[in-house]
Amino acid sequence: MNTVEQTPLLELKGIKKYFDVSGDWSWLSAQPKYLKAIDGIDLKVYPGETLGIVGESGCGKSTTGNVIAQLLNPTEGDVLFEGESLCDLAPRVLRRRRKDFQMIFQDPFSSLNPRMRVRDLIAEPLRSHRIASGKQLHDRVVELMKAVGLSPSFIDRFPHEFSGGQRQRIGIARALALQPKLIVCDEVVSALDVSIQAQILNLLSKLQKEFDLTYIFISHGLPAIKHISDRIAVMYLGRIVELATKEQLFSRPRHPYTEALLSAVPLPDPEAARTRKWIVLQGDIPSPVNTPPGCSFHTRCPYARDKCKQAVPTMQALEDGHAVSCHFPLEGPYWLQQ
Amino acid sequence: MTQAVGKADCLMDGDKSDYFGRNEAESTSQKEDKPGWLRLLMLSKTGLAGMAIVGTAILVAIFAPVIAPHDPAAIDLASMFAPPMWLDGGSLSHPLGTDNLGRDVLSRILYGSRTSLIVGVCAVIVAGCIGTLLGLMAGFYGGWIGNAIMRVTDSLLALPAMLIMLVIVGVFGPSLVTLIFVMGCTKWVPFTRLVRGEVLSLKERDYVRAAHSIGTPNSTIILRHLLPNVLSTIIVVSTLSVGTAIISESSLSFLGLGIQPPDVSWGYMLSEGQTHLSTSWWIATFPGIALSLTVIGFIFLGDWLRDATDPRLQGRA
Repeated sequence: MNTVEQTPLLELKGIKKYFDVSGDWSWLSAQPKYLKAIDGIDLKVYPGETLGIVGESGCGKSTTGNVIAQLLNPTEGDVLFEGESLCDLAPRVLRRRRKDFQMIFQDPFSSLNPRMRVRDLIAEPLRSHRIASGKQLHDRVVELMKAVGLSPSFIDRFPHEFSGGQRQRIGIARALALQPKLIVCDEVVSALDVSIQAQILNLLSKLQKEFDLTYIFISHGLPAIKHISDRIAVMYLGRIVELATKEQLFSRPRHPYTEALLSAVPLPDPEAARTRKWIVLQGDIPSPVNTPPGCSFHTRCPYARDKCKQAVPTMQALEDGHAVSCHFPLEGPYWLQQ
Repeated sequence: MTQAVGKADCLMDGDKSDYFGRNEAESTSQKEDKPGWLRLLMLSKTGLAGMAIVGTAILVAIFAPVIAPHDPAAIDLASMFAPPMWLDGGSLSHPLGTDNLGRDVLSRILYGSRTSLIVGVCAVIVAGCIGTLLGLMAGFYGGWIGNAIMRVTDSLLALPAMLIMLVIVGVFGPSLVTLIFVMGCTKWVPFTRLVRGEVLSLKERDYVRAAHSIGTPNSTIILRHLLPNVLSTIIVVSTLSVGTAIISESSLSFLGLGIQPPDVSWGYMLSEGQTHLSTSWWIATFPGIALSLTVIGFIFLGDWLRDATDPRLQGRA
């Protein structure tokens, strides 16, 4: 999907996002406390691809999505969209620029204004950017509703009259309305039933082909990520630990954390599930306020050595297009070595 | 969450449409012959009662000259302190008795409704507009704008409202317009504080963040996302404020800075009647009942309005 010559649609350069959590009495303590939600992310997203971002809750994946959608300003680093920095834009210019990158939110129950009808919800982006009005606006709304599989007869209904899956379709129609180049999907299926998840994922794939979209798909669910992504970035404690194509990541994870994640995916075959070996990570995810020194994963890594406790690993490109942030990348997962 | 999904699904099944609602015929059967708010009014007993009380008060105010048996300002020293008609010494010509100058209490109540309603409603409209606007700005923009607005409201809260009203009335002289202006200037504080609080929580909601991410201008976010969702708070505060505004007017009248004779208001009657409360209780009691009833009516009406403007409650009551 991505070749070296292609210019990235979106580029994150050394993004850091720290939240000040020192509290009201911070002036009493010598050191301010920061929650390091994102601690240095470099990422390139190429036109037409779907980049999955996966990780446990609290690993900073949603913050990353918010930074990309410019709902949060990074503490450090820069977001380049088509080579142009978004962080330095004046609010007015940024507002107009938002046309090209849209976001779909996690919770379809809270991301739609309960007092607006579907007609106005889908028309909102078109009105905000003065793209259409009157009859033209109505036609466009109907067209969008059809594109996402909603009957145009629902145009005057309120969000509470819909099921979760249908609401998420409204959210998708809103994101599509401005014909963006990039859509950030922040946990779009996590709030839905599994059967509905598949419908929404298939809809997203269909729309991607139809409208030439680029997705950043954020999720904690590996099956959903596997279904839709071309490349996958695995995040742990605010950093990307592994970045690879879907096939490579699932067949040959190189980072111990990815290996542990994959071993935790439920298997549909009970026989296989009974005999398989689980990698159970010890302890909890460390607090992002006090990140461990060295490799942030060393406290839970079954393969940790002395070096891991001292030196912070950097992202290294491996021979097969894998990029991994580990001092001792795995040769292959345990299930290949046996 | 799953429960809510399930509920919505059942709703759709009832409509006999498939999951994506690709059933075109179904939408027409949903059409109601009555608008939602009217249906809701019929279902809500308190709403009906509120509507009836407030409607009556408004009609009385409009048709006071037609209904009133006497001129409210006509002094008749021959029939001073006449009791209501069902008591000893009462007569049919003064159904609710007369006051210390022999003026007919019923007629004065009927005429007094005009001033009281106008002052109460107009003052709340003025205060509500000022307060809501400031609250929206303080909540949405925060920073130094928000701080400045909140410090002003805090300092107004620290000063007794009556003192401010006295000063303004003292400067501009008592009149209906001054009264409305004065109350508009002092009664916006609770609106600002409540609206700001609501906006602070609302602006972190996903749908407001979604509007930001879409590139909706701030003015549109305030008007279309925030204002409709703080409306219920505004309505409740407004209906409660109508009562306090009518009472404030009576306090000012009591101090001689409110409505000037020969005009009447309920508040003026209350303050006038309380000196004779031990001997001629009817002079202050009846305007007091009229006042309480009207305030209750407004509160009922506000309760219903709050539900009627919420699309989620339409038709459920």
